[in-house]
Amino acid sequence: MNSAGEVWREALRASPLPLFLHAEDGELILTSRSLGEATGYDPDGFASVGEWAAVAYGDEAERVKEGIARLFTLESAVREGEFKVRDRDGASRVWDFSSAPAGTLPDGRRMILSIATDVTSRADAEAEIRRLNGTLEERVSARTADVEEAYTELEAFAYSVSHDLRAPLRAVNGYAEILLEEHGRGLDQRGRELAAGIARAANDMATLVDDLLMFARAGTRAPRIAAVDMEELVAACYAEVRAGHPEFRGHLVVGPLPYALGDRALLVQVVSNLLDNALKYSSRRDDARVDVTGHATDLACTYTFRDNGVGFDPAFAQRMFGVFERLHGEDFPGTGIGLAIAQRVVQRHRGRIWAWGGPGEGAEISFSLPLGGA
Amino acid sequence: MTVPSAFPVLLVEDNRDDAALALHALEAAGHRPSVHLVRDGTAALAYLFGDGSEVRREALRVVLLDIKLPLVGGIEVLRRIKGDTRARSIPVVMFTSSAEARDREACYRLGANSYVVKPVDFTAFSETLSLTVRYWLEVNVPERESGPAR
Repeated sequence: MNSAGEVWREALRASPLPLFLHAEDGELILTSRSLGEATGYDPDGFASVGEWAAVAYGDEAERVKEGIARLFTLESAVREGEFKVRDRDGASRVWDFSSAPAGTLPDGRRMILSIATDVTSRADAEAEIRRLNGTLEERVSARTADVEEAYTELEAFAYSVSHDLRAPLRAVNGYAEILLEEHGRGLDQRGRELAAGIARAANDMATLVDDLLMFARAGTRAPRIAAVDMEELVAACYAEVRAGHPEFRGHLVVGPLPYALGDRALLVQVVSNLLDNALKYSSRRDDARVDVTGHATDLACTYTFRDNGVGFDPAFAQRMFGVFERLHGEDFPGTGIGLAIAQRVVQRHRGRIWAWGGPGEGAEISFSLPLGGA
Repeated sequence: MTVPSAFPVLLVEDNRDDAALALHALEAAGHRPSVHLVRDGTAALAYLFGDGSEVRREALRVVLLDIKLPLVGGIEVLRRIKGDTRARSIPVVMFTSSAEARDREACYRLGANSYVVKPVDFTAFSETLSLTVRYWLEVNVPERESGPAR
């Protein structure tokens, strides 16, 4: 350890990264101790690059040795790339090698200094990403199939429930009606009221079941997007809804409405429900008025339904979109499913729906549908 | 071969309550004696086709057929009736709880003559049923006249 040469040799041996100093005839002149730490091999146990290659590269040894031989034509440093190295335990590591010409020995042999960085974890991660990318499409289609299956099951469930519940409800209503009609005289006034109550409650539940089925379905079908003439759609829905509100003594004003991008059959449910609400809650006024307005931006079309009816407490503006949520009591009939269906359809179009209003100040419900393809 | 039916109306209904309500409504409308009730699709086919050698169809004015029946469903009964040249012209009215488009479409595709949804409300149910029976017994002119229907 006293000659200058020994000092330099010792410094190279201390390299924190696996290091090889090798000559053009294959002699391994020096390796770092970190080579031993990283692989478990005795770093001084290899006399030649060939011995190291045979141990570390297995079947690839010959190819690697050819690559090493070419290094001796180098004029400057080069990044050789990644190599699979087998350690003493048989585990595979990925080393990223860089090499550079390192001068000439006194006997004229050229030397190369090669240093490796262990990139196993990065290489593993990259391999995992490649694998995941390769299976991504597969997983997306598998997941899509799962979702579609869940929708189909939900649909079958909703259908079965609505169908199977109808028969017993008809029985409850029917037996109560028969009791009332044919045995009513045997009942006192209270008894008759109770029988009538049973009959009515069964009918109410049938309506709830129908509405629930409609709600379940509002979300199961993917919208079939096309351009929709909203002025025509509002007029068509109004004709239908108006017939259900003979008590409505007002008029509808439809402003110019931009075309929407949406599923017409689903949007009918939104518009019908909003018009139904507007007519219902403004029907107590002689000067009832329902305004439908719309405007378009580059991103979305927005439609607003405003009435001058009884309005609602704005604190409940969000809650009114919940299933079976009702802000008004028995004064106004309904199950509270209409806005829930409207919201669900709008959400299926990736749109938004919101409400504004105040007690006695009428209500305003707006929804927007994106134009960039739902 | 065809043989006469003792009853102008064949009602195929498995649900005990629906059957009781239907018979009650038919009784009130005066149609009860015209109606034969069977409780499933197998019994309906046995009534209509017997052992297969003859079809009981003369004087049979209408089959009221529920869709959801145990074992042999209403749609299969419909298929068998409309698929048999001897039985094809027997009017079949689907009388069901299902308002589903797919049920409706499937029944009409198979040749159902009418599709009636049972209302839940009993008053409406009674009116619907007696109106239907009255139409087929008193208004509709059958393929073959074989004496008075009632």
